[in-house]
Amino acid sequence: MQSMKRVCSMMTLVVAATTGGAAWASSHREAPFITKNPKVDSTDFYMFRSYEPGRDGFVTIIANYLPLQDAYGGPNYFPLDPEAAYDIHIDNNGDAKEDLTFRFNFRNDLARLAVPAGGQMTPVPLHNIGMVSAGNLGALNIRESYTVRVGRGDLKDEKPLLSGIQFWESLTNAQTGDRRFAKPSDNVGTKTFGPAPGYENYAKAHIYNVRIPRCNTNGRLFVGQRRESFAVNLGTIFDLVNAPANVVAGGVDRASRNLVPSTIADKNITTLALELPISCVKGQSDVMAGWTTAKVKQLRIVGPDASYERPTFEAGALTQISRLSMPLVNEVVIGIPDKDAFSAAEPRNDAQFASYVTNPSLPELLEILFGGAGVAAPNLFPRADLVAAFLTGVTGVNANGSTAEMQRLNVALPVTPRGQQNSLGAAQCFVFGVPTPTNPGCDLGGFPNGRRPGDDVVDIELRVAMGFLLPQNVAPAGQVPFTDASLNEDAQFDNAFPYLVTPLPGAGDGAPN
Amino acid sequence: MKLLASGHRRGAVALLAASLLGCRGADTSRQSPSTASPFSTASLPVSPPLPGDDDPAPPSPAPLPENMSLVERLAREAASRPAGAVRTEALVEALKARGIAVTRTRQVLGKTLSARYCAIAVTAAGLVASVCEFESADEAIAAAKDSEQRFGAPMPDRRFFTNGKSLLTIANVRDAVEPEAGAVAATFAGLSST
Repeated sequence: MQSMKRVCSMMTLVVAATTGGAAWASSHREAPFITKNPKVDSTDFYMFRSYEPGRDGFVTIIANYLPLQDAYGGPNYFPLDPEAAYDIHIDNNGDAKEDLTFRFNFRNDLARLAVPAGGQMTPVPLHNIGMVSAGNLGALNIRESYTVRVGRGDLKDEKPLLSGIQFWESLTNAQTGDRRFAKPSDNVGTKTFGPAPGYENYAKAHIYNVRIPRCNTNGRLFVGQRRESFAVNLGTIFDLVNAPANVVAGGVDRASRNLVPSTIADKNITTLALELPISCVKGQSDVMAGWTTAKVKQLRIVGPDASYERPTFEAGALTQISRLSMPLVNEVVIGIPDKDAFSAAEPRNDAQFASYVTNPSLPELLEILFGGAGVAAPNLFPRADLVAAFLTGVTGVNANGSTAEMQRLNVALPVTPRGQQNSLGAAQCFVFGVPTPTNPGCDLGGFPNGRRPGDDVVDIELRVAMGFLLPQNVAPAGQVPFTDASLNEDAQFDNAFPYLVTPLPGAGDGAPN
Repeated sequence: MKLLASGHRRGAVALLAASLLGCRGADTSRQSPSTASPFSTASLPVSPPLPGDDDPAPPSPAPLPENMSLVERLAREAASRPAGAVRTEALVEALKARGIAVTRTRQVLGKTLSARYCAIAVTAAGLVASVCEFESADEAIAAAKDSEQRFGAPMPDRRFFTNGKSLLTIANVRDAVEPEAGAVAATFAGLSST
């Protein structure tokens, strides 16, 4: 049964690899059901000690949603779902259950802007009817806002910490005390926001200092559109049969890992970013684990008499349909039969998916494709190295006692400033699986110790899948520098919160062709 | 509420809404793929099936050679091996006779090196012996040069040997297994064409 499941998993990946598709982004449209629900489709999850100068006492957590946004996507652009709950979970005691959950809820208000036409005021069909800036919203027809609440404890029972208080407590604007935050409009174009840095200035006005209940130190908050942060060469990876083999196995240096632009470089995403004081969110251990989920209501009735405010009737319990922590898990590890189940599952129940990690299919595919040149998959089952990377953390680095698919960050390890980060992350700190902090290129601040935007997780995971963390006798191709030839590195991002860069405009200078 | 304008829809919706609003307001997530959701679809009105809904999926048309899937390519290569080439199977048998343990073998894609057929054998020490079969000895030699040129930098631990129409690539060669690599090469050289 195990071997049959392995064969089926391999065949699934083989079929997927040869029929094409945009699914090899970090977690973009990765599961069948989530393709029907793009507004709650998580795309990337980052967790790292802030490397903005002076902010190393903070951890930055970023959850990206709503993939493959074409910048010109008007008239509605890409507001998030007001009926959904977007969560960022933190487990700080190693039991694979959330100890803190930051819940984002959105609202999209229609200003009902109208213009006179033939003696009557006719509502306009546009997102805005003039220039928009931080202090000038009169021309903005759709105004997005959100609240953030923090719940401390298990969401299964939502039991308050103390009697007399609510489970959910609101984050508030540290300056005004407001519980509701304005979300900047998507980057419609330069006519709306003016030439650069018009939109960037407008977006930066929506970075908030926030008071976090039961934290002595304020944090920071930003929600808004950003440029796609994940770099991947879909052609090389997803059409492996026809990809240049010397490209896939040829990432010997930065230049060879940067041969082609990312296939999704002309897209935007929506970012939920929190910067939290480490002292307030970590537990007794230095390792904190995180993941993001999105939930929708169980019942949705599509009304025949839809309105802007009520196109559907939605009710019932919030039900999770999207989940993401480590990159690429639901993309290329979990088989298609179980992708929707994974999207709905919680880390505490991940034992059901263990065989996908212990008996992965991707290395078998690479062996079939490049075995003629001498590439062979690791011959070690179960793959304890992958279990460490994806399910438990690495002993002595970021293991936290639990076995569950979560991103784990050791907040005691040093921060690496931008410009000194190794895009191969902490993988370079291992020599044939032995932790070797003195190894040239070792960067303990990077993936899989958390994940920074500039960590090239595709290259790292390709190499780890082929046995980079294993001895040579069981991983003949473990030292081959696999790459998708599309580079992620720290220079592509800002040096300050929220780190991800200005989204592409829908029109005007800088708009994608 | 305009949504409930119709009498029978009002009843069905009210029933469903009441049953769901009676659920716990706390989050629910499926614990395992087999756990049933509390949401029942039994009372939802169901549209009658349309003609063709239950028909089996039509077979895919025969693919053009350049559009073949990986599985189809492997099958095609396995069915068109050139005559007169030294084969992986023969190498594996000969290695076993010499006491060199082979842990596994597998057909791999010949197209990568423009070969008619390739297969690998992995020894217990982790050496990878890839034997590719070509149309001619000249093609085998050319493939060795091509492989070195394309993969030499990222995979410097390889050795190449030809025997007629076949190319042997030994990968993952390191000091500890140099003698075994030599034995594999010698075994390959001693094989006759099929």
